[in-house]
Amino acid sequence: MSKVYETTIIVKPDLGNDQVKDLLNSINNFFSENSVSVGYQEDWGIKNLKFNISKYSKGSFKFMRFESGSDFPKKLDIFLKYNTDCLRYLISKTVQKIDEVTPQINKDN
Amino acid sequence: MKKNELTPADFIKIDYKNTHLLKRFINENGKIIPQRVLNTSRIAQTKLARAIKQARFLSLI
Repeated sequence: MSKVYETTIIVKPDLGNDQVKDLLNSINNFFSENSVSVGYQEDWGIKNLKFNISKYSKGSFKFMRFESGSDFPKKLDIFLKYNTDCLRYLISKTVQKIDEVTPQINKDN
Repeated sequence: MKKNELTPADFIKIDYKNTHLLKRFINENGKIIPQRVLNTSRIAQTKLARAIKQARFLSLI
């Protein structure tokens, strides 16, 4: 049975445009390898962090929501854990609709 | 309306992404205000605490 999950990823803020594209492509490839489609994607931009994470005071936030079985979030967890460009991530189950707009997108930090 | 009051419309919006709402339920040190002060229900307080801790982990609040 498939459920709706969502993930927020904090990416290093000092990456170049090509590196960010490569990272997003690798994440999208990982989704398509496991035959899961990204339902909804958002870019919250670079935000000031409230405390430093591995000596970075800013972070670039990426958000995506997807529908999958219960085994895929575990695989995604392992994939993101060993990704060096990803500072921190949170995968959670949600009751919201797959294409609901988050409040973070139209608010400046 | 009091600053700390949780309306039924707010209850649905409790989420780690909604930091504007969560900031009403923490004090200036970033601590969660207790249930006996807020007068929230147990279900709402559990939901709030979980959302605040998730937002803290992502360094949003």
